[in-house]
Amino acid sequence: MKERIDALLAEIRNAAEQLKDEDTAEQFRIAYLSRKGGIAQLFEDLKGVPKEVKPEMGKALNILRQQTQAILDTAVENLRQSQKSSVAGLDVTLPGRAVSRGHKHIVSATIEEISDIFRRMGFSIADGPEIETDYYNFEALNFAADHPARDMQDTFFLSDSHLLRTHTTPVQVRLMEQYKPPIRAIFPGKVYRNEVISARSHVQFHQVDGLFVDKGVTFADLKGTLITFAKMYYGSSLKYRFRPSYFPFTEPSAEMDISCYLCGAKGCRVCKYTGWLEILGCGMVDPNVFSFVDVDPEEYSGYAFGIGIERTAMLRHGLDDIRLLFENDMRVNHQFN
Amino acid sequence: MLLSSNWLQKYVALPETTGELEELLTGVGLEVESVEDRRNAFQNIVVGEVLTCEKHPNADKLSVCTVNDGSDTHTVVCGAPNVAAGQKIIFARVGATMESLGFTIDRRKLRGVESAGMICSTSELGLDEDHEGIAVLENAAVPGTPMAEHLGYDDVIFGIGITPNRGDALSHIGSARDIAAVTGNPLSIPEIVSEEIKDPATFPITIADPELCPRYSAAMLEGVTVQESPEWLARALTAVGIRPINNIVDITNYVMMEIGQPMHAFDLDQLTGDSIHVRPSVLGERFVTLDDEKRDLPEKALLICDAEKPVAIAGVMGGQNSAVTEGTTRILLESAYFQASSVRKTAKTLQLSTDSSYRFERGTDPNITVWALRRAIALIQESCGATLRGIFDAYPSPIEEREVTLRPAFTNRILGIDVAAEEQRRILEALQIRVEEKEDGSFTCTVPTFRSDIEREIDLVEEIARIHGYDKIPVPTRLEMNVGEGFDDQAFPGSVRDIMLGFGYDEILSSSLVPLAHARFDQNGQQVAEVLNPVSKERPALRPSMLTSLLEAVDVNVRNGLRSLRMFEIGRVFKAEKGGYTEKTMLGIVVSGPAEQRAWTGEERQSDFFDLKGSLEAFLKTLYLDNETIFYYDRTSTLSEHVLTLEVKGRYAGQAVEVSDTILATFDIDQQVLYAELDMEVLREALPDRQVYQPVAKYPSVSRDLAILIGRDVRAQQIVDVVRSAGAEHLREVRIVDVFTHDSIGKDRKSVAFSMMFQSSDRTLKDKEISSAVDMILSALKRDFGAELRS
Ligand SMILES: [Zn+2]
Repeated sequence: MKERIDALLAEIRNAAEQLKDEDTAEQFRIAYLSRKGGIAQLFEDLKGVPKEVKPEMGKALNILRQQTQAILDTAVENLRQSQKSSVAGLDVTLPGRAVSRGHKHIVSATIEEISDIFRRMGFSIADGPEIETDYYNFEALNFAADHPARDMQDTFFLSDSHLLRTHTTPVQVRLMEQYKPPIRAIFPGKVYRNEVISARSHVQFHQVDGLFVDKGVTFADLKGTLITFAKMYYGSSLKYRFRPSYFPFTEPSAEMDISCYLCGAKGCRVCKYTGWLEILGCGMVDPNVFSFVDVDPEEYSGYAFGIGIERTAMLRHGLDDIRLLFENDMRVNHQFN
Repeated sequence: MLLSSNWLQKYVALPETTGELEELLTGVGLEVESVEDRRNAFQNIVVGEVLTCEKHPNADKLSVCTVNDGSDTHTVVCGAPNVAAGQKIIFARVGATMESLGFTIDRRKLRGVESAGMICSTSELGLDEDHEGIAVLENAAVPGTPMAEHLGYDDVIFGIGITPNRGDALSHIGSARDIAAVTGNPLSIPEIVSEEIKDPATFPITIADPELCPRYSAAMLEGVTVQESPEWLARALTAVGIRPINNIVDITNYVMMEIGQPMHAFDLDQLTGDSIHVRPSVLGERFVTLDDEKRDLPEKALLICDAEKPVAIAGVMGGQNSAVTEGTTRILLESAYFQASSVRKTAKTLQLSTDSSYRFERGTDPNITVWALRRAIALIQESCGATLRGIFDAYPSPIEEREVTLRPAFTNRILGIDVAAEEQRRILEALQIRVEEKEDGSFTCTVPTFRSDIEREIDLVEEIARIHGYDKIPVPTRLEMNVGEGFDDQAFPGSVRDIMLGFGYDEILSSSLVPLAHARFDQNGQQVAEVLNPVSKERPALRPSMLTSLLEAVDVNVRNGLRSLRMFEIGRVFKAEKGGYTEKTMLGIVVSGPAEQRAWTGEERQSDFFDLKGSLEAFLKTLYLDNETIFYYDRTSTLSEHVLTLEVKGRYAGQAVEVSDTILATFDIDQQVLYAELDMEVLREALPDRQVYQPVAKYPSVSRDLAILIGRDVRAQQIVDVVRSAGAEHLREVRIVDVFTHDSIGKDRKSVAFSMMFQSSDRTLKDKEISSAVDMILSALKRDFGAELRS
């Protein structure tokens, strides 16, 4: 009996070497540990051994069974471990599943960024139609008929009375018609100019215009607000200047320049070697504009300003052709989030 | 406009440096766009003298010269045929940079002879286009004189951008006036001597419409010699970009650049009858202008006529028929004041903008015409000694100076500064505005007629702001920040944009103007809004929907090899209506090409209609509008046979389509495109004010799946509607989970499987209840569609 136990143990050890997957492990279990397996067989045969060696042999068989179970468990665990660590299991260097993400248009992003700054300064946001009447686009903004000021804005006409707005400034007239001061708002939107499309000009672009009308609004307030805007948008270290200019709807009128951030104000092609970049036009609302909307210029005063979005975005992001903004070539658009 | 600093200096003392003057001009609103310091021009180029000139030993067409450059003698090889000993010439020393030629002069051997310098033509200096040999200077030129000095290039030229309101600044005196006001230096205007006319001629001037021509002044001169202008005059004009022609024309231009009054000289012998008639043109008139162009005149263009014919288009250009030429001896000098808008209309219609029309359009001074005449007469007499036969002046109703009241306190109230009344007065007076202080402290200001832009108190405020300096207006250290007013805050487009970006769609912005053909196929029977006068003729129509814009973007990217596209645009669409136009803001969406790229995780999958619809459903959910929206099948669109229409809170809100092949073919797009458009206004108005919490269900839900056989033409929505309305009280959700067609289940039938979820808010549902609910649903489907349970 003792010999048979030893022989089976040797066989089991041998068989354990051959365990390579779950199937061979199951065969191993059936061959040795099942009810009809080799160990069960020996327990069966134990009945016929002499009484005096029976307890000793029984003990040896129990140990054999425990050993065999341990051999199997270890082998199965090893199998599991080796499967896990194999390359086919988890290759963390494979690329992840694609998550599609949308890209914001650079013009929208610029409008949003500028609007957010003015919103923080208490400005609301308004808009008006893109098809405007001559009245709102020109007349009520103090552009006299047959005045050279009209040459500043080449216009698309739809009829004698209707045109595509050349600026978002008409919204200020609509606002003042509808609401009594105080009014503090910006109006972003699309505007149109009847020009030949080239790298430098397009038939459409975007503007953010602004208006603040209240009692006691001064040119000094205008400067304060726009300087705050410029510092928030372009950085607090910039230099700025306001110089007299002309817009029919403001008086006095000004243009605001900031020191050229592309060349550190040393002079470059973009700033035409002046060290200054023009960023916006502004001024005090002309009393004639007030008279069109029944606001008393003796009681109220106000300022207005306008920022060209494409120019701002192109300067900032180094684009040199405005057509790139409206072609929607994703090789361009995907560069900006 | 170009301003010469030497010229300006005649009227006012200038700041010391160029930089200061530049800053001053920009500071008063005469924006300096360019500065050309001519004193630095032509370095190493001097007046030279050809001492000897012999033929080159080895080349027929070359000469070998010795040139004295004032300090040394150089051997120079020259190729010009007109070089000769004894000439004073332009000599470029070794080291001179020839800017217009793009090289620097070097010592070099030409056919065996070393040449140390170059004898130049004026075109090689970039002065003109003349290529006929070297320039021979007047004999008085002194060798060694730097060329800049010899040419009078001791000047700084400023390019000024003048805004349309500043017609008064379109001259040297006009600009000098602003300089004087800022610096406090006096302005000195040339004195005019009125000479006595010995033998006065008569010369009647009639004006048909004094509103268009309030004043016409003219002078008659005899014994004129038309010749080249004196050096100083030619130089002055060249410096400001005007080409010298002859002394008479040059003097009229000089006076214009000096005081801003455009003038014109007629050859009096070419005029019929000694008289001038100013009248509007009639339809169909033609006229040959000085530039030899035959022009069809618009109706009511103002014409200057002699007894028989037009001789000039008023304020725009003179006629070929009466131009001053070399043989002219008698001239009529015109110095008039025309209505600005009339000149502008004529110039615009003729598409002819001249220095003269440019100034008249911006408003000239009606009361300077005779001064300008006298100034020109004096210069002409100085140049060629002519006899003045008379100054004739038709000025039926003189234009008077305007009186405008200014309250110094108002200035400070608008500007936010504190400028003393005395300083305000000083500024106004420096600008030649006369000021009279009234008892209440306000000023009665008499504004000279050259400032036609100053009409109101606010205009005077601007003058004070300009001259005082925008930079001196203080910046408040504390900004008053109140919240925005109550009108609509347009945050909605921003949130729609963010939702679409989150779903992986790229935002585009495209042209609202589209080709007419593109506008027509999605106009849905509406009238397209069209631009009447587009410079670019290909795109005259305003888009009636977002489709065209998005398809163009698909096309661009597919052509670039990028096929997997999900894009959206928020923008306006337009239509023409009786008596007007309407526009609305739309969200346009396209899906096209692979929805999933080929990767190790799976194969490529082309997007289909349900990618688009899934996005729409998720979009509406994000806006809390999913329960307010009804989708229904429609066939009325021109875009496709299969149209899904959306209704939000009972209003038409948009549509989703598989774009028809016919339309795709127009754009050369070879892949399927799914398109949807949503009306932003309808969505915005349907938005709930707030989302209200729903208690979470306490009792378990039970799911049952059902597969039925049903007619192929029954649409999913119809099935779901019947299931929902069958009367099962605790049915919470119906979801189609499988649609299957195969001949084995019948050619006109399909199998549809759906999953239903039942739940009660107050108890656990019993098996029996659910079974009877399922039976109700099944029998409703049988009743309405003849559906059968699939075994
Ligand atoms: Zn720069």
